[in-house]
Amino acid sequence: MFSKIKLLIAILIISSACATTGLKLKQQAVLSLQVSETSLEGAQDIERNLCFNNPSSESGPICTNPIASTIGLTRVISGQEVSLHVLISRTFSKAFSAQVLAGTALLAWRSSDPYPTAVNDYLKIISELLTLVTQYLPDHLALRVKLESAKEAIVIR
Amino acid sequence: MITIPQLLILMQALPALINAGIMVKDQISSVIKMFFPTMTEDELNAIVGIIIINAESRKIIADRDSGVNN
Repeated sequence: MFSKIKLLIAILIISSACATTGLKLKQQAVLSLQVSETSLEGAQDIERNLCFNNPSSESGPICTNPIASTIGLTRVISGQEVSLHVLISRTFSKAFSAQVLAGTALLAWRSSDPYPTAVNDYLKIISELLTLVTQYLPDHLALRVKLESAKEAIVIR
Repeated sequence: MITIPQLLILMQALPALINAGIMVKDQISSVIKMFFPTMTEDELNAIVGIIIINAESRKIIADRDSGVNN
């Protein structure tokens, strides 16, 4: 009788472990996207602080902070016909769009399914943003670190 | 994740608790959950919902800064 109870408990524990393993993978995927999103928001805040005197009330393609021209945010990027600030903002927009798609894909994802390609697409845009910042704002370590965190938080399975 | 010694202790302790009337079988799942601190599907989906809302509002800001909707 006592050994049957032990067996029952063992089965309960093992089946629970199997069920939670799948959920843990999803948990890891969701929490890593959350960490990445927070880092990406931080990166956007840094860029906006460099561009605007008062980032909480200002927005747009024209920078008002005098430091923006000093560091090159206002210069027109050859071949793009827009300022670096606009180019970075466009890429942020693409990254946040990709993040919405990645989140939507994760909602429906089960750990037994192939990992959502939308997460990989999001990661590619973060890499694009990181390349842009490394190339044109190489001295802005804080911005680069935030973007690296946004990239490294994502673990592709 | 639960370790083997913890598993053995759990296996030893639970029947005794059930036999002593301290714990009913329905409570076993609660104890197991304590050892496996995994979020539920609903909790995870709620987090994803927040991520999506935040990302959408950040995209609006990025679009304004790039001259779209300005």
